[in-house]
Amino acid sequence: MGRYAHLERALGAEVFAEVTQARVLVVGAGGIGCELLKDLVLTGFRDIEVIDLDTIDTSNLNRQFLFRSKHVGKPKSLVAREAAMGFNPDVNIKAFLGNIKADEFGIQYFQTFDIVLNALDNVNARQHVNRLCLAANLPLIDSGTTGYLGQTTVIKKGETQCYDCQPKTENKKSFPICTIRSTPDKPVHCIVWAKELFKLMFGNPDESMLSGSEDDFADDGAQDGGDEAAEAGKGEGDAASGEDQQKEREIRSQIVDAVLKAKPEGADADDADKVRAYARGVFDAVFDNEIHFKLKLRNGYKGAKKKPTPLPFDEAMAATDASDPSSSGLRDQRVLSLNECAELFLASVAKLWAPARRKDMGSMEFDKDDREALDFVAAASNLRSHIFGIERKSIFETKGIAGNIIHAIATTNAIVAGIQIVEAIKILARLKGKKISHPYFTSAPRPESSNSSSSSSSSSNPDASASPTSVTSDSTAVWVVRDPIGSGNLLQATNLDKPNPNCYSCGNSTMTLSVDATSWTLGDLVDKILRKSVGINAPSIMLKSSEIYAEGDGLEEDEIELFKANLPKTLVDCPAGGIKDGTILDIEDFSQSLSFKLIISQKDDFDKDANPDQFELSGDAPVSKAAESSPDEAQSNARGDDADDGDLEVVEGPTSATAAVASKKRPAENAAVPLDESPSGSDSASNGSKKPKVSEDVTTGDNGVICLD
Amino acid sequence: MSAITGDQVAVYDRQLRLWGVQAQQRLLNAKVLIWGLEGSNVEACKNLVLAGIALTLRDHRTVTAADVGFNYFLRPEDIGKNRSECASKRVQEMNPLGSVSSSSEGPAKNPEKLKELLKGFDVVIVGLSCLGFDFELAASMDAACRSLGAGFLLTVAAGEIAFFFSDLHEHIMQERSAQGSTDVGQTGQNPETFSFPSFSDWLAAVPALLTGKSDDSFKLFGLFASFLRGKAERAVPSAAADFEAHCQEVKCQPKVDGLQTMQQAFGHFFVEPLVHVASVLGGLLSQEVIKAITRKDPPLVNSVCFNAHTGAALVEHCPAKPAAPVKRKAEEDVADLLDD
Repeated sequence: MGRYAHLERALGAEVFAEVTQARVLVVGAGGIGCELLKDLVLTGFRDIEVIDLDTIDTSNLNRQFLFRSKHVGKPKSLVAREAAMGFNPDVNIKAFLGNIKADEFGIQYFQTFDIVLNALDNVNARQHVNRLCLAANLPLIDSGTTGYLGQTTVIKKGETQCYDCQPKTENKKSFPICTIRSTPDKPVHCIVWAKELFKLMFGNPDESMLSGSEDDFADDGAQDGGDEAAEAGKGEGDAASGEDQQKEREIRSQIVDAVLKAKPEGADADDADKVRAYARGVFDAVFDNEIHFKLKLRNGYKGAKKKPTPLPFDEAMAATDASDPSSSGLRDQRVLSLNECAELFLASVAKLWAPARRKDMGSMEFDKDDREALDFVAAASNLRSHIFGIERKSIFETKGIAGNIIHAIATTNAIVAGIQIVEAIKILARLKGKKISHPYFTSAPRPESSNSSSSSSSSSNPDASASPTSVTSDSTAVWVVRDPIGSGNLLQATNLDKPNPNCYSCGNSTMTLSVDATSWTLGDLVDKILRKSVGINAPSIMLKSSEIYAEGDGLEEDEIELFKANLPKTLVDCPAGGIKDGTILDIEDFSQSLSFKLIISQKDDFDKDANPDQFELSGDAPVSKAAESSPDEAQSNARGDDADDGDLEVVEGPTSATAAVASKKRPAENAAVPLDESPSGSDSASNGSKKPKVSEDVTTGDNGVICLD
Repeated sequence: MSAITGDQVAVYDRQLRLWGVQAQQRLLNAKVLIWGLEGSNVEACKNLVLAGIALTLRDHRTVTAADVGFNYFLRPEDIGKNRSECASKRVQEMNPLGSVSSSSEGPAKNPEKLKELLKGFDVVIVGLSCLGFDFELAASMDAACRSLGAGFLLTVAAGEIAFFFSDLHEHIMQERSAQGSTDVGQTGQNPETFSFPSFSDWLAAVPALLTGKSDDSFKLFGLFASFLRGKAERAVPSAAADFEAHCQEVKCQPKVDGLQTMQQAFGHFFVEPLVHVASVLGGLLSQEVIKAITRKDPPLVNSVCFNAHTGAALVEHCPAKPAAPVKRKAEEDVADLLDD
């Protein structure tokens, strides 16, 4: 028997033929991507392209099995290609080192494929691929894993929900600002604080909440969010007077002085003693003096979960607590003793002030793989934990929390990728619209849900009444769980949901505008297309999540000026990268409750006589959605799937931020799965490099919202 | 137990964060025998060597063109050579920190010899086809593993459907993973014991399985066992009509998605498994091995079946004796979640 005999036999010759002819795009060559490539090349797929922007890291090697230690630092996509082609010489794989969001991988590129398989670890890229697949009308098989948990789903325009049909939470963990600044009760609170101290000392101090002038107890009365926030608020109860807020601000400015004004300058920076004295000054300010002040101010922290005790430097150095003897001998694995923490604090500051690093002073960003930065955060957070009577963490654990490291193992990725191939084969069998006589077309629909005790085919399912031309009528979403659900389901297959008509990505028709983007201005677009052709009242135009034009009520004077200034610009010269061939614009009109996507196609050879306006607009006119919107759907389950990893977010008080972003609704039968859309695959892409930033998701003026990567 | 090294921490970082240092130490000190490089067992080679477990690969068969088609540890130039020897080099390359050895011994019927071949392993994974589809031999191996204190897992595949049986004897689970991501585990939990039936018990329960309420995909494997019991020589594709007749005789005609007739189903037992099907079942199988060694999280008792056609994987207790482990209270689960 040859290489493919078993495939032809099990899949049937016709389905197998579809497999061999299919053109497949794999987005991501990380944990899931490696598994997908292995499965694809050994299942008869021959025409594969893979894109990944990342390079190989040592911590990938426990699961990204196409890579070896000699490949560390090399591009994932290229190394994966070599390895996977070694499994089957008949296969042709094209690999790209690049960002899937780059212009070259636009709609036209996508349209050359039959099917797209996602192996991504972050919401943003998954959304992007989702939108391109919708625009190119391609089936997309999406996946994600975290630790032992995983899921896959199939997305096809007009047939299923798309990735955006249910708003994403972005997996942010939120902490009230006061918890971080004054009332920590968990290690993570101290770690977030230590990262803020890092930012104050080495990064941009204006971005650090420790320098901020917002008050801790901004809106005690209006809290409706998490328990943590509510409790922290109560603990402060009496203290929240205007006078106290003033005092808190004074304390903060003292800290800022200790950090910023005492910085060793000039020759002092080269003087080890001066640098150490500076570090010591910061130590005294944040671990001793500030705590004294706060104790006084807060009436001894009456009612708070954890009451702090100031930690004078000498006391820390004299501490005789042994470091955790139970764990292994590696320093990173054990919990450091108090004097080790104090010494590490000074030593890491000194290293960060070393000449090689000094040039970045004022612009450093915390990176979990930056040894000195990690040491600093570990030392500072553990000192603070000690002060508040909170359990201390090893450097290894601190790194995981501070860097939001996603757990990842080979087995879950293997399971999820295998299911993606199953789904891909089903789709391909359907795609050509052939009635192939194969079990793929004779099977009954999936059992509806959690109590599916049987995978056998006797049940009938009215919901699976997809049209015969639907390519997803055999497709399912599958959830990988740790403990069996119902009567023993380890992988739970559920039917795909219908598209959400209100979805901003797939809920409206997409329009394509062919135009010369080098001569048309934004003003032309607004006037000739949006107003005259589509009939919009007050358009707003979003380009790659930046608003480049808007009008209507509620805009500030300066915003109006800013937007007006964009109108005379040619499309290619517009902000946020310009509007050019393949650009997708999000057009909205709040006044009409209407939104749609406008795809730009570059064209400059119009027949001037036949087409004096020199543009072509195709696609259905969008329909107002006002009548069909269902606000409660978006609000339900707001806290339901705070998946574990992802961004740490600090918010002032409990906030409308959560309501704004955290409203992912999930079918009830999946409620047992504590995860959704979690990152995975090539995890390094989303972890290290993102810049901490003030969240822009919040529209209610909460000035204290900080997102930490 | 030797302490974990810095190199190991660097490579195993992401899994250490999931299951903790202690569990990783146990994995690093464990020895697993993978007997029969077929189907899900190939995936187990990958998953377990990556986890840091020392592996011995054993297969007496030589490499065929079909093997090269699904076993990515083999290459065309290996055809005609011993399977485990060829594969072990490439399994080793996948994790230079691990230890991989190979053996070309065939299965022995003599109980003493069998015991000799299974000695020194914490867990043994056996592929039924390597045993010549001899269910009795599988039961003897399980018995030998029991006497040696080793876990025993048996894998069988039929095209898009794949199955494994697990026997961890009296398994003591010491802790459960925390639900959240930042904690590697919880301390101070009470150990729980899981009692597994032996493979002989499984075989004895096959008649009840065929007429009981089990999912039809399990019945397919039950039928295969009942057809071949005592008659391993019937394990050839040409016996498909006899198999169909046997199904009628025992009045069991499972309707398995993806399979139209029992004759067709029978044929699938003898073709190489599909790699993506093996990928899914092999992932689940490997997780059971990891649970067995780390004593962390409740193991699956005791039969698992994946049908690519439905995308469902199910676990069943066979013989049907729902000796359900003590179920934690919902409040505790909620408390765990809130702790995160």
